[in-house]
Amino acid sequence: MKEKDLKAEANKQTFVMYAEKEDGSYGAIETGSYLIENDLDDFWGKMEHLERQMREKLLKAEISPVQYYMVIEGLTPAELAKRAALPPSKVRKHLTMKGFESARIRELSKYSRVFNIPVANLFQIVISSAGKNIKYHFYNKEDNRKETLTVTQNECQNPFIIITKAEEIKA
Amino acid sequence: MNTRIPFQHKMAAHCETGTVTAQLNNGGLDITEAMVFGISSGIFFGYFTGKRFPFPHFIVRNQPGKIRENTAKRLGVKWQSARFKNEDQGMKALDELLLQNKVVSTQVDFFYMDYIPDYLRVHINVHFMNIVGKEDGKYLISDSYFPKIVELPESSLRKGRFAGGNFSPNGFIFYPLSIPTAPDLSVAIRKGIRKACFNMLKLPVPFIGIKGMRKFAGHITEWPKYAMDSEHLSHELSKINILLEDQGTGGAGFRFMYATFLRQASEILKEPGLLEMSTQMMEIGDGWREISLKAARMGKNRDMGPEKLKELSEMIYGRADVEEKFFKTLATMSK
Repeated sequence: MKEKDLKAEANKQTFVMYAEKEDGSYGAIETGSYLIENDLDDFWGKMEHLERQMREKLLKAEISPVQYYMVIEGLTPAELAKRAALPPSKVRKHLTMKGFESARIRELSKYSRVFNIPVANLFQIVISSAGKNIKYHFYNKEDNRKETLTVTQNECQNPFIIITKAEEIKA
Repeated sequence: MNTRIPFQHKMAAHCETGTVTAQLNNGGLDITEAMVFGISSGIFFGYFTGKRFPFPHFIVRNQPGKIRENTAKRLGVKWQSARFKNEDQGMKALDELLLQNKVVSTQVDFFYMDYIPDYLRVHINVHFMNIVGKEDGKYLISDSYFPKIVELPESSLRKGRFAGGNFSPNGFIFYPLSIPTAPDLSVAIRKGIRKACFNMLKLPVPFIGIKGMRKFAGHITEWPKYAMDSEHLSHELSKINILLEDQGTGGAGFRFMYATFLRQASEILKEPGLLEMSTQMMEIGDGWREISLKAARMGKNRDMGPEKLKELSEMIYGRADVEEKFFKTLATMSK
């Protein structure tokens, strides 16, 4: 790999890569990413496809919110069980709506910590004006133009309460 | 508490080697990331399937934590480390060390690092970074993947340090107690090379080293069976590019970084043979880069038919063949 080939890929996200420098030495060079340069929109598209697919199932009650977030965040039931410190059998049960109905708030709180979402979001999907879950807001330029609101969720001292705030985007 | 420890922040290709190198540099040892990687026998290959993984997965570096452990063994660095069962105790211990002006390295789940762009954040429990202070309730983080020192809320650091699951950090922290200023690099380099060759050629498991590469090559044609749909398969093929290039490897799955190490090693050991091996490793890396670019294009164009997967498979078999020859030669040179 030669330095000049890396420089062609430089873009907004800086990475360190190793290459043959112009003086013939080998070493570290700050550069960009091939993926971000060429495939970021496609990457977003695939993540959005997955989110839409899982959301449709969730809205039809074919899966539980626990399964929705687990799949999107690339976790297996076994890994989720370890992370939430719950028995694997219980996690498997909570992946279905029937099992989810019997989950305790304490258990949901453990899931919400793993997924990095408020507990309240296990009972709702907060969507942006472009129709996306704000948690998985995979921006692309076109959708950015459609946005008229920003939605933020802020924690408070009460771990079960979240303040969801919608603000108009000023032009 | 408000404290900011003077620390020279530097970006690095990889989190653990970058974190360890920064600590060593901060402690007065002039050593490069590539040298730390080589001495620690960082170069590796493993291919994994099974219930523990949502999809077949490969790795290109040695076990997380080994970089620190191997620098202790081979350079004589003394690290103090601790894990915690109790979150509050773990956070308190960190704060106390910061108040003593100690830069503290920590292991976290990358997913909770708010300052990293969303598209880079995945659940992986083996991200390393240095904590260089705390101001107004926010920790000051020197993360090798980020161009400058950043702030991280206490709640995010806590979640990251105490995420459960595989390779759970359990609040793991470490910092140097003593760093030799002039260690015998020549001995460390030879030991590092020997262990790397052993890992690549002789570990008696069928999914590690060259055997792992061949398993990957043979298995990739079956990936469609594991995918939920074509979009998922496309995503997993794109991840080959991410794992080899963007996920902190320095390019080509650490092969370019290892080539740099061999070049520096040849100068220290005054062995022209290692210079030639360094050039060969750079070429091997170019081959891996062709694989990662092909996989990215296949994924992007949804061109993922059996013929294309077979071509990718043949390219990986090719890398296994050249790396086997390479590491056999390198092993004889390091005796």
